[in-house]
Amino acid sequence: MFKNPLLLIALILTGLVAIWGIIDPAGLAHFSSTLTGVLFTSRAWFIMLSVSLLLILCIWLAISPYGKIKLGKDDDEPEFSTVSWLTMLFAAGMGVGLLFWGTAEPLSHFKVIRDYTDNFHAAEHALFVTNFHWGLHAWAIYAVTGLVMAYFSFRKGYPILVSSPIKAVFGQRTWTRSVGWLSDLLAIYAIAIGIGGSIAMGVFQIQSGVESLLGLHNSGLWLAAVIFAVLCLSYILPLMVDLSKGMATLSNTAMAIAGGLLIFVLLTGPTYYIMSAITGSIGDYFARVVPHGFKTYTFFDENVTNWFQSWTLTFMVWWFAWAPFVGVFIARISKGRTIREYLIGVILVPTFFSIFWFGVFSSVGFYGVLKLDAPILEVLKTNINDTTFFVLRHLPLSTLSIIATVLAAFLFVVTSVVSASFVLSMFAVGGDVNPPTRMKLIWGVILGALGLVMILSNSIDAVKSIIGLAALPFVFIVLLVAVCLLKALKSEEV
Amino acid sequence: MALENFIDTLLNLWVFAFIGILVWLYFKKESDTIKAESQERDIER
Repeated sequence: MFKNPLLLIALILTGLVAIWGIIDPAGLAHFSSTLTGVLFTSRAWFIMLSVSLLLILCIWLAISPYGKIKLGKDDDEPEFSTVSWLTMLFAAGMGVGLLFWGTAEPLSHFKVIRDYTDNFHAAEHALFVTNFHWGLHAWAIYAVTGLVMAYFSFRKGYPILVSSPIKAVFGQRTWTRSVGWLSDLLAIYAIAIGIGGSIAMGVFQIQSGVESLLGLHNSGLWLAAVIFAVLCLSYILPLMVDLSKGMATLSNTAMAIAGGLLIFVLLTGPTYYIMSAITGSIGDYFARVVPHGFKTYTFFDENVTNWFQSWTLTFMVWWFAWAPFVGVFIARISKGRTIREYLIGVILVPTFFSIFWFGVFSSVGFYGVLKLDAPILEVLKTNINDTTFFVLRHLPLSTLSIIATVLAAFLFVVTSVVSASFVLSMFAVGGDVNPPTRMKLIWGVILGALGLVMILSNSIDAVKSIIGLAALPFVFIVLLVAVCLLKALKSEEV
Repeated sequence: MALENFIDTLLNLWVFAFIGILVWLYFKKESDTIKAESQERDIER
């Protein structure tokens, strides 16, 4: 196994980050935030231009004659019904992030924006910016990555690897082998760090939920350590035995709980207020989304540029970190669909779902702040992890809804780690869809160690900057493989 | 400030070079061998 240099270097690289973070979490956090700050300042324009171009590419491919091309042989039919396919897309996009940020993100934006305008416009813009972060642009990054993998794998017969399009289009040369190898390495690195961040976010979320249920205050690292240990034990078993059906059930259960929570908050919260906010935000979003993709806040003060870097740019590179992982998943379930069907499904459906999700959770928060004068902004400042639970505590059946949130967060993290270990092992062994168990276990341990590093940093901002740093190089890879796709499409007869 | 500007220039030069390489790769004509290899795979498919 260790004769494979890609695997060895990937393990050393991620292992070193894990060891550094365990020995000196503050040092790693400081290093990442400083470097991310420098890179974000210099390359903000490039990141925003790239995500906007990826969205425009998706729209163009969907309406162009290339939209008729099948992701597979011409007579291949989709493996899953459209309803199951769309549900699975929900599951891919529905992670612990939505549970964590549902109320916290729009209110964090509100806190900054209200210094520049009145509260009502600030709330409206805060919701728009949140939808921007989780909407079309985010899904365009996933869609292009998944599309390239699906096209070269199912239509051209190459293994599902990030390097495949480069070798397929430019042939087996020294530079394609080197760049391909580096692309696979960067994909592995970005996935590993990204999932480590998700583990930390999940643990922070579960910790706040447990504290809320047990009436604990500032339990500190001991409770986080207990939750982390339980999480690790829970994902080790599925890595050792083939539980693909069981994992699908767990993932669907998490989805069902999250969906139930959404409906519960909609019905028990101020329903008219929530529905009005959602309706307004749909119009606002689609009217402004494309121009906003090019916005870089160049002429604003430092406060705004810092906010832009720590939110918009961080989220955009965060999606790049997840792109190879989510891309593989979306590609695998989309065989037999046309490019047009694929793009419409992958980009539009999860975007509408996100608008609905944030519409519900942000409106409950804004209702508390603007109408009831509830101290949610104080909670946001002192303990951001508790924001969702603070809102739930003010609705009926709060114990039940908090248990449901904790359970959903737990299941989302377990299923993410198991799937990521599978994808990482697959990449490390050259695209083999049945990677050895030992390999999956090794990745499980590495992901756990990276999660621990992020937990030890004890700050969601540190988690964001560590992920940002790991994901930035992958922006270049996604653009390169997009060019490979465009070049390959030129030879298609449409 | 001068060092910051220098680093900024270097980082952006890398980006400009990368964009240039992407444009060149897109328009570059591939050799017949690569095309034949790709077609061979299509036929195998």
